[in-house]
Amino acid sequence: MKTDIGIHMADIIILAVLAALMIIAARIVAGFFREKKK
Amino acid sequence: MEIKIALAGNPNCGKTTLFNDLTGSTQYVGNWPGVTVEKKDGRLKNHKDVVIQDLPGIYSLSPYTLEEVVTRNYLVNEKPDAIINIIDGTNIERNLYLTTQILELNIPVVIALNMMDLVRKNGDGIDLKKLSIQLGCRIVPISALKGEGGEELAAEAIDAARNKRLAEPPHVFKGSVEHALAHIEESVEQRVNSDNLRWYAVKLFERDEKVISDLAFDDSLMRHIEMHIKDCEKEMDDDSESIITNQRYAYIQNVVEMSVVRKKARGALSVSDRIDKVVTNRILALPIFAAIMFLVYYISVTTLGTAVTDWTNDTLFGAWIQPAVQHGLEAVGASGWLISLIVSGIIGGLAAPVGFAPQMALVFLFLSILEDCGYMARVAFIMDRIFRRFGLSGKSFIPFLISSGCGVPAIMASRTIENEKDRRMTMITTTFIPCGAKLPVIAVIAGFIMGGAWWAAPMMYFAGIILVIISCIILKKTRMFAGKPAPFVMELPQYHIPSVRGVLIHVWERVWAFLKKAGTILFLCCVVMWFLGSFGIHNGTFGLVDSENCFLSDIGNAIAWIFVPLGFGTWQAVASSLSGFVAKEGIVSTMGVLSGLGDVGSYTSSMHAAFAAFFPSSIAAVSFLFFNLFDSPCLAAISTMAKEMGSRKFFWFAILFQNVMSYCVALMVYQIGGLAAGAVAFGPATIVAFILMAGMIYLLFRPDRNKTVKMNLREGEAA
Repeated sequence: MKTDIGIHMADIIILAVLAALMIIAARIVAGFFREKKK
Repeated sequence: MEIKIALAGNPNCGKTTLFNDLTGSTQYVGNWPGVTVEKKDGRLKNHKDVVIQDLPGIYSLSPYTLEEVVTRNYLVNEKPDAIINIIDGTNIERNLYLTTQILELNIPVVIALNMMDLVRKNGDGIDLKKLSIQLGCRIVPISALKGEGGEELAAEAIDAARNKRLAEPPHVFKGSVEHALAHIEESVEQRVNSDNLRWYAVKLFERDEKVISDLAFDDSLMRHIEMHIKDCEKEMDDDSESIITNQRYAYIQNVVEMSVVRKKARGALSVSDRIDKVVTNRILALPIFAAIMFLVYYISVTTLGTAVTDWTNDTLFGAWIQPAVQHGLEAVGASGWLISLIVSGIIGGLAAPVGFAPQMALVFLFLSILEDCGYMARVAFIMDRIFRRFGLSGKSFIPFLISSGCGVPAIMASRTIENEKDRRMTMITTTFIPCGAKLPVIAVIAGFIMGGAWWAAPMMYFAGIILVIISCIILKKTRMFAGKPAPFVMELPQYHIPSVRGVLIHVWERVWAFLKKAGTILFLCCVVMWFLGSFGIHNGTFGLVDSENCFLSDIGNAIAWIFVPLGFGTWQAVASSLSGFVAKEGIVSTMGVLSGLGDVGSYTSSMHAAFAAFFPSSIAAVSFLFFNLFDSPCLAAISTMAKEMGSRKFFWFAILFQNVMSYCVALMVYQIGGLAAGAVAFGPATIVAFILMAGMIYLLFRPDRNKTVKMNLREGEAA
């Protein structure tokens, strides 16, 4: 095992930003495939 | 109220260029027929209530291909408020054939006489007033490429649509033909839309199968119509379709004689003709094409491309972005694992393919110049000669050409092929041509394993063409794809200096599409790959683990045995190949994630060392390259193929064929190539590779049973 997973306050904020970016990216990708199906 | 104005005209007459000019869009414009295969809408600049519709190009309203059906159905059934009929002024006779049909639709028409700059340059003259009187509608001279006349044209079209200013139908048909048409009109006037009465009468006279089946008239009415047609055919001593065509051309010839003055005598060689004498020469054509493609890749991959790519990788990402982000995250107190996710996982993963964007942009720049100046249309013509020998029409080369940019529009472009078997075969093989997304994979293998060999990229391009030819020969001999290739008739555009704006738009669109992909699907792919590559279960506990114990290594190792005979049975190489099924750029980005784990400094050298560790030998890397270039394409292309194939059976056959073919090619390259180079020992897999090679040679050279059966049938008929 390399390291334990510790979570700091900064991590939560960064993770929230990352999660938001991932949702936006996933929506764009899903939109592309919906468009293709039409 | 919203006004719909449709742009209709022959293929490659400048519809999309005009559409972009009128709407401010940047739709893809290509200098060959069949670029637009779907109807596209856009709002007229400064007129939000006016919708301009770009339709696929057609030569007549008797469609043969899928995209031609789109245009005819729209014009006849949905009826726009007005039609802008674009005519290529340098080839007015052929373009007016469609015009005579459009004028029968009873829709307001304005004619846009395009390429007037070229007409003037050639010293020719067109009397617009006379032409307008002859055709019974307004004519506006334009140059879509230079953006001249667009505003006046739009104003005329809006005026025609608002005032429902119908064209005066020209007197195209004469004598007994007009007599027969009048009888048909009288017989069907109660049963069809009165606006389209003349059009239906002409189509019934031509015995248009689609129209006859749509109208589904009773037998007695059809017999009555048939009687009129037969009477006319007897009198004119020709079949009804030819009678209509001949009378249309006779009318057009009369119109042209009255309104067009030509400076040059017909038959004199133009500059384009003189260039074509060399570049389409029977012997020189192919060597010239090969030399041009080598030059394009040489400049893009070595000189300028390498310098910018090295700077992007080493300086921008390696020296600036990664250290800066790492210091920033450390300063705010982020955890080590989160820093690893962002710095090594996301930035490291995205840096690998994005670093190759400059090389990609240069390849696109050169290809766009070649397309725009008219050379690539000649290549389709040259390739027709070669493809025809292998049972494929030159029409298939256009999707192959587009495939060098992206497989999705290439698969869509196969709609221009009339023969369904050929169309499906083109869809199956078109993604063998390396697309832009595969360029980073080629560059990585060439750069890191093969010592930066610049020739790898053009070689892969030609390897793709060879594999297309091999696949087509094999498939054509099967019952599923047997048949004569469709005839290929393509008008070669005149050579012209490419417009800087047009070329830059091409390059920007392709690079932007690549960057958008990097920001979305690759970003998600990097996060997933980092998670799978960093986490795992070790000694029964879930957490951050060494790379040998991560989930990705478990998945990779579980299926690595499949790839061991191909020489790249390491879990990193297998995992990279798997991510290629999502997006081909994902291969390099996964390699970036896996090689960047825990190490940020000296980016290029660390990547080099890590990549080399994925492949036990150079021939294994080449085999990896072949497998990933020729296996089934990315998700976007697969979903397009599923839609366009129109058959579940053919779709799954395509997926199976692509993957089996790529596996066989990679196996032969590794086993036989490795044996010849002394890098691989003789073993059971080598025997399989030799058997496969023998099988492939047999499939290539075996007699075509379908041809033999046909010949026997003919002999039987003769006897």
